[in-house]
Amino acid sequence: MSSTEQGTSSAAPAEPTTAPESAAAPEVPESFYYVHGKDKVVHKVSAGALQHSALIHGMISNLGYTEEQAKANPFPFENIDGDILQMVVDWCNQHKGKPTPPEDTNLPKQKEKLFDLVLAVNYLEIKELLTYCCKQVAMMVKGKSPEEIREIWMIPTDAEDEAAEKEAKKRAGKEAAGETAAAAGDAK
Amino acid sequence: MHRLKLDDSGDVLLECLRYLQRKRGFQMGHAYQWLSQQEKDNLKGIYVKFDDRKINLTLGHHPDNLKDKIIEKHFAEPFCTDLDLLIENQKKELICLEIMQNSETEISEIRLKILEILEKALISKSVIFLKIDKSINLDFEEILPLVQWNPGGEFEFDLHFLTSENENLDLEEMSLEPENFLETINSRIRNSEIFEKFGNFRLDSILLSSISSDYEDSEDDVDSENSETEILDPKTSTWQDVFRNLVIMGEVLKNLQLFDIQRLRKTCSGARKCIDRIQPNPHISKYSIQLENNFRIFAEISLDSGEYQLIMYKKDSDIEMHSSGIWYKTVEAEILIPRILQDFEVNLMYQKTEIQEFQLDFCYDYEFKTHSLEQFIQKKVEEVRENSAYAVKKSNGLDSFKEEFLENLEKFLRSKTLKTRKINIGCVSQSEILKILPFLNSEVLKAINFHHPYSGTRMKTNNHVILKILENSNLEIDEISKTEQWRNSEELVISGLPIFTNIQSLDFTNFQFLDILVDTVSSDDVFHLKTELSKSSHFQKFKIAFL
Repeated sequence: MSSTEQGTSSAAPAEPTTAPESAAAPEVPESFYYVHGKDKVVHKVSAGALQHSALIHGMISNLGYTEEQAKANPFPFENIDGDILQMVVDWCNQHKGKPTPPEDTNLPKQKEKLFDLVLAVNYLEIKELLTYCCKQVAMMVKGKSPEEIREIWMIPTDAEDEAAEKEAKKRAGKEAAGETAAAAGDAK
Repeated sequence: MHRLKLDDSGDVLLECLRYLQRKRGFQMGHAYQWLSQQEKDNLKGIYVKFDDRKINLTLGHHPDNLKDKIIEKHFAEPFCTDLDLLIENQKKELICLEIMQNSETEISEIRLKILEILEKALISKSVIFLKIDKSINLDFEEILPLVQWNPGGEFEFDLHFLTSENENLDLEEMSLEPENFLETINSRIRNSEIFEKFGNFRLDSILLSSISSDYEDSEDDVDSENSETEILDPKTSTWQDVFRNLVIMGEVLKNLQLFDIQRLRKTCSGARKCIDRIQPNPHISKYSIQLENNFRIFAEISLDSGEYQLIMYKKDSDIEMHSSGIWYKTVEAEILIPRILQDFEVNLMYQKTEIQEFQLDFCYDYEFKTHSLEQFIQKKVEEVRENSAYAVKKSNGLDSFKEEFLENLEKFLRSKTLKTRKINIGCVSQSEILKILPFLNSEVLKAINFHHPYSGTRMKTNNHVILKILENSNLEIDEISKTEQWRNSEELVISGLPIFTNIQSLDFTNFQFLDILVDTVSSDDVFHLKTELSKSSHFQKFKIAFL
């Protein structure tokens, strides 16, 4: 995989910045894993931080990954934008081993970013962060009329949706007919 | 859970991708990625031919309709990934799934893998249509899980045996002709004993066909259900997908209350279906219904958040308008009562906690407002003098209207016990109260409040005038005091309406707070109350007013 490991540069936030462990606790070396998004930038994340993601946690436990294997093969999340993955990784690091507070005011306010974050968090199964994101979405819904909600989130009306579906079917039918004709032409 | 173990030589990345594929339908694949979405969605046939050197995977209506791509060297894994994706993401029934081995050379690993994929597909998909042609030796134990899995008898299995490798099997001895034998197999296919008896067969074909007549509908339902519950792919999803995803919407709705939920529900059918399945708590704190007359009813809904809406249900108009924070809903005359009760039912349907207050008023604000105060008082005084407290209601046809409303409300409350901490009823008749009070949840109800309808919330400024007018009205509560709701309640307030029932016949000992109005009170009554209430351990305040 061609990747730019940023364990020390852009992945710097991935270095754990947790509260100091209790002096009595035995020192256990922490293991680290690596993830990358669409931009192929690799983020180094501690196993503790990754506990937040049920998906990644499941991958680690079910695949029996060793740290060496993980280093050579970062978890590929090609469907998540790099900046969003960075945001997620930062959040996981910040909340590693800590009880999550009732509010999180650091979430993006712009609906595009929030949308990407909701999808990424849902995909990675990070329940607590999803709760915060959904609360943010709910705040944006509050007091809005159905028309305003449709406009803000670009949701088509049922009639528009049906029309678009019909159109897509028609187009697909035409394409299929075109392909068949082309195949027949090739055969000749 | 199926646990995969990697060794150093294993393709870690491939396993990673396959894990994602399994968990997320992350559609990577090999041949799969060459297909257009339309081809993926309309796949009719999957034909597999394999030997020890190659696997031919043919897709389409017929094997002649080929997508010719070649994967060299390590072809087994990509093939399995493709087959897995093809079957897992199959949208329509397959006309044919054919798996054939070209030679007698065994590639047992591939064969087992194919069976594993098929088994997984059959378990995860509730309906499927497959025709499996096999011309290979197959141990029944391998295919047993497929055959045994037949939920609801949805499939009919035909196994076609042409030859048997089991020398011990003697069809003649079993007195079975080949055709009959097949029938017997069909009829006994769910009995695993058959496999123990016949052991290893050469199996020539298996046909699994759906015998469910509503196959298409059920598949649609399953698809629609899956799309709502599945984890969304960040790459291809839209806000519309987000608003119909049960997981995400479930979290969003935890932060919304009735009015926002209703508005969100109106945005699109996906959101509507999703909300109806999640059944979010509307967080209603108070529901108030005021019957002004037989053509206008008000409903006031307050939420835990403090928001409220005043809705006017009015006859003979279909205009809906919103002004000064008040929603005016209007409905056709003949459906006024069913409509308001239907809204009442729908709004409270998913209320998970008790409401704080349910208020029902039979007040006459409208009439009051359409007359000058003097005219109104004069009219009322005359009516009261004539000892006809109901004259105004009768003259408006309100009596029958109110009866109809109460009958319908009683039916609703009988079918679904309302949980409210406080009941506040504005009427003058014990029989009317008994149509409501006994059907409220007695364990939750802690406060009972009766008042004269004229002293309703919208008439507060004129209470003193109205009270004078109505001094001849009174309320009997002997039957009410026998209800479980009365006995379990902690607070009783009866205002603007003197009690007609003898105080000494009533049991007030369960109440902590009491505020009642009586016609007259004797020294005996006072002595009785003092004696009785002093026995109560939780009694705190008792206020008796008398005219």
